[in-house]
Amino acid sequence: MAAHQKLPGQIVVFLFLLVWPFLAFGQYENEVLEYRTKITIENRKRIEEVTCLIQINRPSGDWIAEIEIPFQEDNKVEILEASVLNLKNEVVRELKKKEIKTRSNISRESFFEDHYVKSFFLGGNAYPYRIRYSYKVEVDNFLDVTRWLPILFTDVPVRKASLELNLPFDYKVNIRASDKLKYAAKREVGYQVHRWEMDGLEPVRPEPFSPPLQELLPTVTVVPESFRYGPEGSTASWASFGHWQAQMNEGLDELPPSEKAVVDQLIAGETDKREVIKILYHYMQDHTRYINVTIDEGGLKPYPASYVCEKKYGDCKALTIYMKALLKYAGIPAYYTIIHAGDNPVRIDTSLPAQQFNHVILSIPLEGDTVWLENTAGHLPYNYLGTFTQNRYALLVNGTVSKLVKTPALQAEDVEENNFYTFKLEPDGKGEVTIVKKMEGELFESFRYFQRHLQEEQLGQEIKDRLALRNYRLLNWHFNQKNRDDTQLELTLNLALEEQFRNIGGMKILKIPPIREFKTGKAAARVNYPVNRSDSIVYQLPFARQYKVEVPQDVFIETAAGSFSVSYSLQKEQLLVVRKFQLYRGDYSVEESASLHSFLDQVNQSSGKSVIVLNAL
Amino acid sequence: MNKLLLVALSLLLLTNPAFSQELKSKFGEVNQEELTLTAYQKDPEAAALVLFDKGESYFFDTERGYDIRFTRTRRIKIFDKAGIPFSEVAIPFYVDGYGRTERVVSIEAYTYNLENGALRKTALDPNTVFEEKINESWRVKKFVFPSVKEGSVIEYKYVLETPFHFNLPDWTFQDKIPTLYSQYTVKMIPFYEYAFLAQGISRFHYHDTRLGDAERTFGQVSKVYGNNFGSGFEFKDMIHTYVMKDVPAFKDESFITSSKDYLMKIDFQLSKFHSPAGGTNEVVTTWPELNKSLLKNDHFGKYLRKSKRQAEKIIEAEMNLTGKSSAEKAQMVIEYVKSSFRWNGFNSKYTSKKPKELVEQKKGNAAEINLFMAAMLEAAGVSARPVILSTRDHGKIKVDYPFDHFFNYVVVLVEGEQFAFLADGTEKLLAFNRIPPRCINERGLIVAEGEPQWVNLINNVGSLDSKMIDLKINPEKLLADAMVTIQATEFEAFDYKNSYHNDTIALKEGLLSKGFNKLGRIKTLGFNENERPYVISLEGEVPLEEISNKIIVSPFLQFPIKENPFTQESRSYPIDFIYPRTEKLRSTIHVPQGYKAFSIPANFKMDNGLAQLIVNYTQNGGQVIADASYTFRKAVYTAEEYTRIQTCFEMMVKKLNEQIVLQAVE
Repeated sequence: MAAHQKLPGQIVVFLFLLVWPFLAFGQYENEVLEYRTKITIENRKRIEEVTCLIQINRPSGDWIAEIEIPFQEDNKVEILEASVLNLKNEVVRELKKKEIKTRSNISRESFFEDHYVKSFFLGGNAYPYRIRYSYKVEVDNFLDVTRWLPILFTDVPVRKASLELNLPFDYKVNIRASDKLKYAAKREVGYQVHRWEMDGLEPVRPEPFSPPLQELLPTVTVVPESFRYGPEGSTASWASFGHWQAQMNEGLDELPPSEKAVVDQLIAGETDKREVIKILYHYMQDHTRYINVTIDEGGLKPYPASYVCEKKYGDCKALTIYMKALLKYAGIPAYYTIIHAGDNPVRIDTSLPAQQFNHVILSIPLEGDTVWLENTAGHLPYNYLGTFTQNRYALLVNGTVSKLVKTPALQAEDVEENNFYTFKLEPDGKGEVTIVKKMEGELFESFRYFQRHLQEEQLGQEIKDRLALRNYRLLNWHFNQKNRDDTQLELTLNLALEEQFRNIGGMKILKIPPIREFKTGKAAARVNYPVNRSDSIVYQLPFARQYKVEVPQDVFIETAAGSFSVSYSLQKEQLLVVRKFQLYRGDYSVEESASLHSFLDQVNQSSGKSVIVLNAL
Repeated sequence: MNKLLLVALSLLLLTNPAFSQELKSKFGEVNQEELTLTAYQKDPEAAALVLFDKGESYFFDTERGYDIRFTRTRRIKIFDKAGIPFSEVAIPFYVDGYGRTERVVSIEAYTYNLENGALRKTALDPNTVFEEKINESWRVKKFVFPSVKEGSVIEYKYVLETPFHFNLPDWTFQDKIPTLYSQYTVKMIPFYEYAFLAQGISRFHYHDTRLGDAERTFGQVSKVYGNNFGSGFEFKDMIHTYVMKDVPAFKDESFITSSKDYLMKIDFQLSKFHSPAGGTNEVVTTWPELNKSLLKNDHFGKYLRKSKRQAEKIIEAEMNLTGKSSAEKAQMVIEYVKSSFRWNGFNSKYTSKKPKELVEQKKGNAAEINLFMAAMLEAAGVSARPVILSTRDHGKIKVDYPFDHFFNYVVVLVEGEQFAFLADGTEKLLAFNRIPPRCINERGLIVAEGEPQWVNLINNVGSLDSKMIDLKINPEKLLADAMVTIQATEFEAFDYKNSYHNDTIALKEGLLSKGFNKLGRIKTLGFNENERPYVISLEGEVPLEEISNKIIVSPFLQFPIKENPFTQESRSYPIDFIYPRTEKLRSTIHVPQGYKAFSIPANFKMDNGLAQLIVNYTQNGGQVIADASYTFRKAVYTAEEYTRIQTCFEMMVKKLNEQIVLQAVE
């Protein structure tokens, strides 16, 4: 059908040698020329007006002209302007009302949310073109006046950004603003006006080990001293803020009679408090699952315990309230503790009592220590926080004596990963290997999750994805956990191997399974929890005597960021490689980060070079 | 009745008519056996099992005539935690934007658990059924079953009413989990006749057609001694039942068009409308009829005609076509469309806005852009006819079945005295005379009056990816300075352009893993010139390996494929690479002073008719030159050819990753 076009047969000219026109690299595909936000508080309503002027330079930058304005069911949204402009800022086309579409906006972790977006597209005729749009969102219930960043997208430069705040004189707020922003304040009729500006902000890209971008960018956070979100609340102190959450939770931690009967039965005769907690926690883990449905004030107000009793599912708030209710009925007071979850969390500004959290756990102070319960993870042990919630501030909600607490930090001994490889190889590279992995920490958490939620085939894939081996067949695997509350998981793998030797130039080369390759960079870095891994690799080479076996030199690196060592020993027909890798918890400024990155570079290099050579005698 | 339908039906009549097993289970009642079941014998690893899935479509009386009521009842056994996600249910329904809408009129769902030996039945709380708005035309009712755990039996029943007669709800017998029993019942009324098509089913376990018992009436019926003197009449439903038992779980494979092509399912399309007032309207029973109806359709033929004026205006105001040949005109118009309009990502053969709106908004679906392009071509004096097709993810069309809904896309056949090609206006990064890979799916139908004409969509123009590598070895630093020039044509060029958008940072990120420590300068050429090769040139630093005082060099860096994607022993579906392709690799290794090549891999050649792989090494003074190429001659290979393709990949993995060893001269 189509006219045939011959393949260019030979491409022999090296194009580098030719002079050719330079492409217009360097110019951004799009840029935000102006990003203006004006927030006015009026009759305790928050009215936010946003205006954006954006220039699109190339077709690949068109995506930014696809405007999306998120809102919630009870917000009032109005699109004030949406037009395509030429480079003189003259309007070329105005958006028509019917071009604005509305659809649900449900986050991936959620089953349902009453969140929506209004969307429309502003496409220009020729490049470059500009677009301008502005909209207004009115919100009745809110906890923050703003959490403003002078950017629209992290990968798009902003030429000029501003935030203007109009606050009635009697409206008290707490403000935190970055020094990098220009600031001016003035009084106008009826309002105190605050204004922040930023000129020229280049795109930021996440780098390996970088802290959350929110921490690296200039921000303005404004929190009202008192607010109405459900009950009246105050951010005067963490205690008062916690008290508000306690009021939100009031009366939710009551069990229906049928559930009380279950609890009675479960803990009958048990007097040890920790045992009671454990029994009830296991019961909760085994009978519920995580499903997030957020409607109305659902973002902050939990469903009652009865909701979980009936449905056997809930989000973190509902499941935590339910767990709290189980304990309460058993006579054990437990505290709803709100926290910012994630393995690389945004740090809490402890000086600013406010809603800085995204998750909730339960804390139960007992004599001597505290028991922590994560209620959304059926696969984790009792009293285990893990990489998701370790080592950070959280707000323990306890009426008027609510307070910030810090969760325990994962230590090197909590995150051990020990791998034992036993290879048996033949001269043709065929053979077998048995791998025993003893896992704690992140690996433990992942595999416990896979074990519980994946089908065999997918589970096998996850195992394979973490094997740094080639030309193998995974024959079988076996998990062993001493008991469900043990924080170590043992995984035994049996693999059939082929072509384990690279044969080049008469040498047989055997590559030691590398530890994972680390990406490194130059930016500020944060290691949130330590890594503590050791590998013991045994090669049984019954034919070794027929060869001259060369092993690399032992490695020993010890730095402030971590340590790495490899030692090789050859005994008759057996070669033993012992490797240890430790990465310490740490915070590195841009200036300091070279020490971390250079350490990891050394590890990468050394690990990549780790080969054994068999030379025929 | 459609001839093909007759054939299908007569085949089915040969199946066992003695089938009489009625399901013991009724909605709302589970038995002990289902509750205590721990695994499905025929597939012990299955995380869940569909115990039964029953659908029924029925025409019910409305003020306007008839709507279809579709009732589905489905029961699932959950064996383990991995099966629990099957307790999240989504029921999509359609809203046409012109006031007509499908309605989910009821949802009923229960969870059954065995608790201490006793059955506990938990009903779905109606307040936990949510409605998600996917876009302007699609909504979803969604809910989660309460109290689900390992061992639970869950079942739901919903009723969906639809005013859209064209597509009788279809039925899929197969799911990602095995299905014990699946049954679809269609109660036809005499006014509508449907053609149906069964896919992936060699025979039903049971199929039956019988007259319903209930007497129904149309219009006014008044009887005297059994004779009707009214203007209306009486009729009975014709009931068709299709049953499949023990349907295995559907397993996906890589390199297939779409799972939709292989799932066991049954599809219906309205073919005739027998008017109660007498007379028959062929809805669409033949290809010429389908074409005719498209040409009449507001969102196809009418749009095309309405586009004409807009198109003429644009040509007059913005293009200078005087003195151009028709081939030149065609190219200019297509390029104008590509640069002026953006595709909104929606595949469609129907338009949903007016030509004027497309011109204003600069964005549209595939039909809006391509039909407008056809109009512009015609306005420029170039023959352009729409070609409808089914995109790859939408499944294959069946040439024997003139089903309208098999098609979801339209491209343009552009013809002149010296040329004929297919064009698509949605992809800026493809040549004017190419259609995107997503459209390459067997064949398309030219929409025109007269006898149906088919167009082969498969593009046999080979795509080339060529890499020239130049490596200067630095033995002290154990590094090589590398210069790489990638030249790609056709779909291979499209692939590079689409992946990196000519963005330096993206290119660097994407190419770094091909064996570099770091990348320096990077340049490209021809991003906007789709008829020429796209060239990426880069400089970088390649780490070398040192073993036993020898330097090991991978001549093709990490560009070659590292693992054979075809790991299964056999294959049941064709292997679809979309287009034929060739990759050429040429590497020049400059052996440094004081070094010599210690070992060079052996030359290799294989050609099994389907594909070819050649690797050659030559030494030339201080250089080692490695030359390799492979070609997959066909776009699509049959399942029978699998082993040969698999072998070819195996050899590619092996031979393209061999290394050269350099040694210091003593």
